[in-house]
Amino acid sequence: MKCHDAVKRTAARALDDLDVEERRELEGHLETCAACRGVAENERRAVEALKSAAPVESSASRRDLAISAMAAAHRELAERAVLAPTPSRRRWIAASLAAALLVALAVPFLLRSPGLRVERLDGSASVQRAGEKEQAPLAAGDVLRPGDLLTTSGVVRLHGPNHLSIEVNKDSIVTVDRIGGGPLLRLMQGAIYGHVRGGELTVLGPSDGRLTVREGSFEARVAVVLGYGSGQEAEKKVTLAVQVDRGSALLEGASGSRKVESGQAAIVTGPGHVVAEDPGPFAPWRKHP
Amino acid sequence: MKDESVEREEADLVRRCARGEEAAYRELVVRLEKPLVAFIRRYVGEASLAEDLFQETFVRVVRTLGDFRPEASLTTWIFTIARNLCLDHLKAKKRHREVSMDAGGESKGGRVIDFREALRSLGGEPGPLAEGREEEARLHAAIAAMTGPKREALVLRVFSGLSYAEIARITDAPVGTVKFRVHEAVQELARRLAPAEGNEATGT
Repeated sequence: MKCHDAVKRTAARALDDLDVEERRELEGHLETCAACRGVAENERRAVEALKSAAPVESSASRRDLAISAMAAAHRELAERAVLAPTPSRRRWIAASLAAALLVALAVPFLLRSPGLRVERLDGSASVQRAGEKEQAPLAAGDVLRPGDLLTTSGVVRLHGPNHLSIEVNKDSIVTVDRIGGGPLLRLMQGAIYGHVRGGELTVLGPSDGRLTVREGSFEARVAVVLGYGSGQEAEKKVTLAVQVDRGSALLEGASGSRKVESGQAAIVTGPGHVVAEDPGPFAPWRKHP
Repeated sequence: MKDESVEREEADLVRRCARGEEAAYRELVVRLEKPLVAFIRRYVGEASLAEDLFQETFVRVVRTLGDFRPEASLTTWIFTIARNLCLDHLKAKKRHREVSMDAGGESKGGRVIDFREALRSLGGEPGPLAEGREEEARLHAAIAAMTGPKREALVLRVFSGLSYAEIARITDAPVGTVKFRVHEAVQELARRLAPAEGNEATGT
């Protein structure tokens, strides 16, 4: 065997794709050729690196989200079928076909991921959709998806995967950064009240501060605190404050974190520290979902 | 073609899904979760996006159950759906990038604030999940640098554990071509990951 033929087979060897005869021939050549042996060794290492790369872990929330999304898609199809006139079997099939056609026409919309549905709106609010430059009025039944930005003048109640319930206070600005893998919201202004059961919700503050809740009820709001920068000079800092009503939450700053239990409050202050501190009055607007 | 008992079992699972049985949805999701997430994640290169595309794949499965042919494999059918979604996304992303660059600097002095720009200026965008280890990051970059067909063949083979025949059906390419792509991908990866001294065969 010549090098030209050998190097065509070294990758197959690394992937264990050679039959016995091919492997025997190649091994014979590798024993006598250091250059091809080097290539083969690098390819073997590359395959090894691939196989030892971080594996995908199972995730109960990922599975639950997918199953809920499937159930919602099924309900949607069923509802469309029900809209058809009372049917003989043939009509029913025609209605199903019509529903399928509607689905096909609406593909750009339907292919989007599940989002946060607006359950109730007390007052007004607007949404700037991902990729859009204009804001549009928000209405009950609308769905917020990743990339959308919500600006409220009234209180907005949202419902998400895994029985997630969120109330956004009036005069708040929130962006939806992610839905899949546990919703991720960014609170830029105002306050939200959240109720999480069986999933995970992450709230990012305006500059630093990250709140993670897996089970419980909490309120998060943007707070202005007096912090100390690296030069130890007092400065006003816009950050995240949290109060937990039930369950617990993890509040993280750039250089520390704190588990906040039921009945406690905490705030991110100074250069990213989390302290248990009374962040001031919380939410007279709030009504528990 | 498919084993008859597998065909019956898959046809039954599809029927149960079409009836909206949650247990059937769960069975399907559990069966494909790891190989499918591994494929999508490595193909689009973004963990949080991969989670969204994973869900969208199953939404599309429910909506197109009527298209499934019992003689086909359920696994390859669902992987084909996922692959199409990934391709759509990658194309849209490319288009969006082109449009954004064209539209750059447009300012009409109106009241609309580009909040996303404001967010970026605040820093700390969440971005893709950190890969952590340096080796993993190098591997990630080397895979991302490959051409689409090579990358998808490699990922489907190594990370999702599919056979060459299954990959051929998903990517609509001959089995020989798929094998060639995977082997070429390994060669390319080895070159990219190899230490700088150089280990090229010089020919004898």
